[in-house]
Amino acid sequence: MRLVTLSAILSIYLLRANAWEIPENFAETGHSNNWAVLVDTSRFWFNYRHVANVLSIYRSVKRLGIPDSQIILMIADDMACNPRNPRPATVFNNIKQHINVYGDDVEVDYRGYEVTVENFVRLLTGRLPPETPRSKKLLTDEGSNILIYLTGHGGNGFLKFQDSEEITSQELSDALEQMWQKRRYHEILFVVDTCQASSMYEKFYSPNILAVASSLVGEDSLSHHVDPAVGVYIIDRYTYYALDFLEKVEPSSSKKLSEFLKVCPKHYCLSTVGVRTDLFRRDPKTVPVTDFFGSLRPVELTMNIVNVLPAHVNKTQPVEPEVKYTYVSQFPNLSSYT
Amino acid sequence: MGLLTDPRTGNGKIIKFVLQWEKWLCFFMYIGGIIWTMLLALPVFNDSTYFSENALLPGLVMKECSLEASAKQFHNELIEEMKRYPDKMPYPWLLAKFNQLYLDVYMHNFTLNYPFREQQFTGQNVYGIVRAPRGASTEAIIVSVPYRPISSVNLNTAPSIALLLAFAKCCRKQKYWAKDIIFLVTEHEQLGMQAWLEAYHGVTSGQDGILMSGDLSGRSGSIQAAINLELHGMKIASVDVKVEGLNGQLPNLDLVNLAQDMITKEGIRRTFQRRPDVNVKNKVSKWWYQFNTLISMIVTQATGVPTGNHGLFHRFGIEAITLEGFERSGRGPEVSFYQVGRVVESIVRSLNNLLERFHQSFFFYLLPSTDRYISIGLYMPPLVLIIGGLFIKAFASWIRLQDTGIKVEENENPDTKISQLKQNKVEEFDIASIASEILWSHIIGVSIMSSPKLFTSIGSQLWDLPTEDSIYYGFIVTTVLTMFWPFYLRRPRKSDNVALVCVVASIEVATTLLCVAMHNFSLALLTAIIYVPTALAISPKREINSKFRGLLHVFWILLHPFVVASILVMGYTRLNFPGEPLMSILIKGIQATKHAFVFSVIDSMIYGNWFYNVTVAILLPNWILFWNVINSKIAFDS
Repeated sequence: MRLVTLSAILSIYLLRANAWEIPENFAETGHSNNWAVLVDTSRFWFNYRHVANVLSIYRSVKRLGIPDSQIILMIADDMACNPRNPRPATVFNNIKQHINVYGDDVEVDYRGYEVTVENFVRLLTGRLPPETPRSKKLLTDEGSNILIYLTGHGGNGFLKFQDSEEITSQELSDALEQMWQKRRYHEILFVVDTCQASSMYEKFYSPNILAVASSLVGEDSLSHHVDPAVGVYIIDRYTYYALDFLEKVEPSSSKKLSEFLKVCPKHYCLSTVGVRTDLFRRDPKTVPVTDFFGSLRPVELTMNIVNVLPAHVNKTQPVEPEVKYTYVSQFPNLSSYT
Repeated sequence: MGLLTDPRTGNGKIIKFVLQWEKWLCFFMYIGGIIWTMLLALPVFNDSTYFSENALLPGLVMKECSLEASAKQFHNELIEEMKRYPDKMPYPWLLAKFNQLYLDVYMHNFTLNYPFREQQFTGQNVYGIVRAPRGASTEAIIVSVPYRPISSVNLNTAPSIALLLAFAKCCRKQKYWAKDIIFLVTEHEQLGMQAWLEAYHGVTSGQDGILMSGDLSGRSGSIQAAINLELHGMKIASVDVKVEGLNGQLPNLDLVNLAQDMITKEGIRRTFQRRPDVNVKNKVSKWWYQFNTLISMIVTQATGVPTGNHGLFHRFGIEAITLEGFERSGRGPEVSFYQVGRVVESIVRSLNNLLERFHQSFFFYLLPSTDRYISIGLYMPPLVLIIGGLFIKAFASWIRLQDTGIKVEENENPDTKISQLKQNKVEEFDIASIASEILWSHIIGVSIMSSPKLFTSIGSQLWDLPTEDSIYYGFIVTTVLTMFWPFYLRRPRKSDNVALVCVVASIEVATTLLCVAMHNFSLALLTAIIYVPTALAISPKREINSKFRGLLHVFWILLHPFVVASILVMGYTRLNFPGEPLMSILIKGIQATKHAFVFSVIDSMIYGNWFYNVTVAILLPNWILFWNVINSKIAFDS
């Protein structure tokens, strides 16, 4: 009921003020909700930058409107509480240390040793045990646009999870195909920032996937800079420039995905960013970035005029008795004892 | 599958080849091995060092400690204290300083029962622990300094103690330690360190009842790495990284690289074997320089004696190095403790980043300069070439022992005949006498190995000789006795039996050398270079070359382990005192030899150094076997 009211107000506002043009493809995106799966697969202190990468992306998508309930954040190690961290309980993604990306409102869904290949594939395909809490489930449907972001150490055809196992590109593409067959997504933006990252998407065969990788096969993805105060490499190049772009995106802005695909030219990244568009049915030039990084608000448009009745407000206010404050006497009154 | 020794299989060609070219093959393998070893110092045959361990993050952190001022203050106080205790460690002052820094401070007492006399020495170590504020104290890093009183003959280490205290003061304030840091000041050089390590791990490395290491009242977790500091002045011109440990063990190459890298980063001149890197255009002179550095490392490593306190850690699986800082001699830049402190800080910060023990990089390597290394895969083949000659010789003479039978077979025929001949052959070897000869020579070796205590007690009771004299004379007597062994058994023996002894001895020497090479490459290399050519020349007596045999006698006497040791020590003395007259060098040399013998025996008893044991229990028996071969009388049967 309340929603209808809100939308009605909005529509009136739109009609009268005429400040917002309705985008041409407003109703044509075809998706009804947005999800994000953000995964850092590597542990150990010297991989601080991967945690910073994933937390920065998390911060961006959250800022652009995807709620925590629709973000699955997997972080393989706890950098903030590592005893080596000279800034305890924080994770920074820049030498200037402006933003603590491990701030107060980070909800990590899978942490530490829970970040395994099995859990990741189960999460994607929805084959989790029934007792799994809602926060650990990817509750997507055929209207969901999913952003999948992976970072860690990879090689040709695999991505290392923790220090013990790896997911192959074949396993990943099979999992995505299973998702497609189970109607678990509408479109996927797959972003991967590892060495030889493009090998991860080469085997994909399911429709509606746009894949971006920080480096081609045979190339290393490099880190961007060191923070000597923390003593580690603090962020990777691709993610750094992607964030640089995303920071300028607003929920209402009309930046297109094609711009996002060009965020890191070779002289910035030192590796060639790989893109795979053949599975994606739309033209990236027409797709807003917010289709994946932002969230669709449940908005309905109506052309009819709706009468909004003024809500009944109780205007009587409780009258509080006035209290006169005085100082307590400085010394106890001993007169009664004498 | 055919056996190599079976002439009927297709391998006959190889055997014929080996038999035909045996001498040349051995000769060229030996020469080739030596040339290859020399070429290892060429840049083509070695590689630049690099970091294998990701976790180290070398030099990424901002150095926060500025140690110069506090180190100076500690140094001034310490100098005053040292004057009050000219031949002891100023425990009260050290304890007080550690306590003032709020460390966990402990003392450690140890006792040495001198093995050759009823005498006891005691010593004390002081150590303080900075506990990891947010860690679990399951791992530790050690920063240690050997304390040297004013009366010590070695270079003074007071500045390093000042630096250690200043660094402890700085560490105490930081919150990023994931491992405990143990600050350890040891007494009596390596003895104190050995005692402390034994007490920490609850083991005894040498013989029981000699070094009583006692117990520690406070400890931390498993020790991951150690840095030993020997800085000789408050201003440092160059820092030498010392690696060679007990029995030639080396620390992981990553730790060495880390230290060298950090030293360069602070603009301090780095050296290895006290030789800085030179930048010469001329390839030959560059090779010659690096070859000398390499030889210097090989000689140092071959003795099996640690070059500093770091060398005792290696046995316990702890990677350790010594940073020795030298004052300026002559001209050149020098740096203050500000920079040296930063080197120590950044090394310890990197060690703090470690997630597991050093395991990525090489444990077996040789260094021709500070920034290049020769891995085990590159230096083993030349050694195998050198030693391989012995195997080829043994193989060829074994085939020859069989060969007479084969030739007969070619002339006559069928199979029954061969087996008969072969049986005859086997019967011809006098296995019992050969086995007893080999057994006896080894028994003699083992008994000489355990004889020093007997020598000293006899020497001190009968003639009231000091330890080193009794051991020295004892060894001279045994040397002479072993040389005369062949003359007690003047029984003529069959040529084949003697040849078989020669085969067995060759194989044993070669195998031992290869086994030693797995532990201490340098020792094996030097021993092989010295012994292989003469051992190759030894064969049972034939009637002809008598002149050559006389030469062989002289050479083999010179190669008696004790004679070799005496000659080497004498040569070393000559090098150290170049200007002296011959007589005084001879006297000094004999004195040094006496000490060297005592030290090698004591090292084996206290630290578990196996140099003495291997030499006497394995090399000496084989020397005796070869000596018997040279001197055996051959009964020539018709």
